[in-house]
Amino acid sequence: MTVEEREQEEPQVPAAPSRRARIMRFVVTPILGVIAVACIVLGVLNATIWKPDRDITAEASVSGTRYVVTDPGVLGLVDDAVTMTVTGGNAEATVCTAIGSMKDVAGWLSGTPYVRVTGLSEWTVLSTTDAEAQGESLAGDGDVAFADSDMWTSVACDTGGVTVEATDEDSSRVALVDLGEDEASADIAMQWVRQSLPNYALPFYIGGGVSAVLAVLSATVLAMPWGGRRKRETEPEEQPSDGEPTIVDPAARNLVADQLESSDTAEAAADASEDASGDVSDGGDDADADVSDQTSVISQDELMAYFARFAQEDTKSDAAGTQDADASVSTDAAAEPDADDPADETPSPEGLSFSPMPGEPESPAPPAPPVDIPELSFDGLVTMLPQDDEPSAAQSDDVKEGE
Amino acid sequence: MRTRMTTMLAAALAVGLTLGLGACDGQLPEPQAASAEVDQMPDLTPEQEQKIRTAVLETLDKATQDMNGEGLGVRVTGPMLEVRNSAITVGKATGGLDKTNTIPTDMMQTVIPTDSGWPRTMYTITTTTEDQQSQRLLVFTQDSPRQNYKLWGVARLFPGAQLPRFTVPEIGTQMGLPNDTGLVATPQEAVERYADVLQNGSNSEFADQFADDSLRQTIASVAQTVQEGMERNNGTQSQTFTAVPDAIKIMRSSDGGDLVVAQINSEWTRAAGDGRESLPASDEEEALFGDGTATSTMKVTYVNIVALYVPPEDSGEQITAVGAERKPIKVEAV
Repeated sequence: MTVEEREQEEPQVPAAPSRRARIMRFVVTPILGVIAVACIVLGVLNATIWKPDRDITAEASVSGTRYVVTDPGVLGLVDDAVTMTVTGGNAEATVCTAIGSMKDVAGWLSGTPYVRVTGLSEWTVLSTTDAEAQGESLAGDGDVAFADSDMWTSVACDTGGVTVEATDEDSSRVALVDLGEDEASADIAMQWVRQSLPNYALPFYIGGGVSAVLAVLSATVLAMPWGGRRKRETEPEEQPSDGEPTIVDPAARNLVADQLESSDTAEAAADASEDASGDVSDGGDDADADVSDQTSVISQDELMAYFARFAQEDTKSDAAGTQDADASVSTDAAAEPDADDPADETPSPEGLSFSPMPGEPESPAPPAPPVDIPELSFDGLVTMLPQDDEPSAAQSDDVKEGE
Repeated sequence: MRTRMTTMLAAALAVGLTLGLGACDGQLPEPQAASAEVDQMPDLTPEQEQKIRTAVLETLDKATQDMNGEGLGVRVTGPMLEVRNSAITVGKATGGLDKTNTIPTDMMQTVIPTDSGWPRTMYTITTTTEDQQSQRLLVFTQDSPRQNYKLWGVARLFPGAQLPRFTVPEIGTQMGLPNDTGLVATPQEAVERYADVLQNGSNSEFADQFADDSLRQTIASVAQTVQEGMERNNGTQSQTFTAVPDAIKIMRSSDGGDLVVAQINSEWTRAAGDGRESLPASDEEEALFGDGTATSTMKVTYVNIVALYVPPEDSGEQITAVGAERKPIKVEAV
C-alpha cells in the first residue's frame, strides 16, 4: 500500500474547536441572538400596542377658591395647543377662563388667594397647590367684569363650565379661571394632542440589529483563534515546527551547486555517512525527528540520470558476476547539509537510500536486496517527493512500508 | 426550594422590567420657566389695541349720537372726559360736534407699553380725517388691572410735526417717568416751562428752550387781538397756564427722548372797562356760557392737552410741541 493510498483511506481527524470557539459559538452567539430577537419584539410592541398615546388628558379637582391659574409653561406642557375644560361645582355659577400674560394675571389677582396648576404629577393628573398673589387687592369702583377686561387675549364664559382652546409656544401665556364665586370648587381638565410622539421603537430596532450582527460575527470571525489570525498577519511564511515535514521548493534549489558541493565533500562524507548511519540507528525520537524532517527532492533529469547510471552498474555487475551493492543510504542524501551535524552531511552520490527507522535493531545495514528497478523506483521515490502538511510519523511509516 | 424561589424571583423581575419598557408615554414634561424676556413683552397685542380703540370710539360715538356724556366714563377719563363733555354741551347748542372732535378709526402707529405695573399708558396715532384734518395722537391709560384702558387725551398733531421714532408694537415701548433724566429737561419740567411759555410768550425765560409751534402762535395771536379790543374799552385780559399735577403721560422713544402728553389748564380772565359787560369770545364759550348773566368780568377755563417731544440732553435740540388740543370747559361771569 502506498502512502497516498493510506492517506486516502485513513480519515482525516478534524482539529477539535478551541475553547474560545466553543464559547463564542455556543454561549455568546445564542445570548446575542436572544437579545436581538427580544429587541426586535420590544421594538414592534413599542411601535404598535405600546405606542405612546397621542391624546394626553390630565385632570385635577380644586376647591375653596375662586381663581385657578396655570403656571407659565403649563399650557404648552405637552404640546403647543391645549384644550382646557373647567366644570364648576355650582352648575348655576358663571365660569370664565381667560388667557393672558402672567403679569396681567398677577395684577388681577393682587392680594387674592388662588390655586396654582403647577404641571403634571402623572400623565393623567394635574398637580395643584394653593397660593396667594402678592400685593394689595386693587378692586375698587369702576372695575370691569372679569370677562370684559382688556388684558385677556381670549376669554370664554359659560354657566356651570367652560372650554377654551389656547396655544402657548413661548411659555408667555397662562390661563386664569374665575369660578364666579368665592370658595368654589371645580374640576379642571387639560387635553393636549401631541404632534410628535417619542419613538421608543427605534432604539430597540437599532439594538436588535446590532445584536444580530454581533451574533453572526461571534459565530464566525470572532470564534477564530486570535493567535492564528495574528500569526498569519505577521508571519506570512510559517516556519515548520519540530516533527513536521520540511517543505522544500524544488524550483528554489540549485542542484548543480549541490552536486558540486557534494562532489567536493564526497570523501569526507563517505566516512561521515557511516557514522551517521550508526547515529541514526542508535537514535531515539530526536534522530527520528531529524530524519523525518528532511525530505529529498529529485528533479526529473536527476532521476533519469540515476536510472541510466543504475542500469549501467547493473549491467556491469551482471557482467562481472557478483557485486555487493552495499549501499547504506539515507534520506539525508538529498537534504541540505547541516554544518552543525556532520551526520546530516551524508553524501549519497549514488542515489537515494532510506535510513533505518527508530526501533529497528542497531545493526549494520543488511545487504541490499537485489535491485528491482521498477518497484524500487516508484514506490520509494514517490514517497520522497515533497508532501504538504503530512505528519512525520505517517511519513516514517510509509517509508518503512515502502521498504 | 431556594433555587425555585430564585427562579421565580428572576422571572418576576424580568417580567416587570419588560413591562416597564412598554406602555410608556415618556418622561413627564416639566414646565419650562418663562424666560426673562417675557416680562419685557408688550402688555397688549396689536389686536388688543384695536379692540380697545374700537371700544373707545364706539363709546364716543354713542355719546355723540345721544348728545349725552354720561356714559363716557366707562371708556374716557382725564382731560379728555372734560373736553368731550364740553364738546357735547357745545354741540347741543350748535347742532353738532365741531369737526375738530372727529377721531379717525384707522391708526397709523401704536406705541404699546411693556411695563408690568399700573397705571399703564398706550399711544395710538391715527390717520388723517376724511376732511384732511391732521392726525390725532390718542392717549390711553389703564389705571388699575381691574379697570380697562380709557381714552385719557387727544392731541391734534401740528401740520408738519415730526414725531420721534418708537419701537414696533411687537416689541413694545417702555413708559417714561415725570422725572426722567438724560433729557434737555425732565418731562415734568418741560410741561411746566411750556405752560410758562404759553403764558408769557417770547417774554418767558424758557422761550428759547422751545421751538415755535402753532399753539403758541394761536394763543399769542388771539390774546393780542383780545388785548387790543379790551384796551379800546379800557379793559384788561390775562391768561394763566398751569400744568395739572399728575396729569402727564410719557413714553420713551427709541432715540432716547420722551414723548410727553400733559394737561395744562388755563384761565382766561377778561375784564371790560367803562362799565361794559365782558361777553364770550367765541361760539364755544357762548354755548358753554349759555343763559348766564354777563358781568364786567368773564373767566373762561380751558383745557389744553399738549404733546411735547423732549429730546435727549446731548442732542442739542429744543423741546418741540408736536400736537395739542385746546377746548374751553367752563365759562363763568365773575
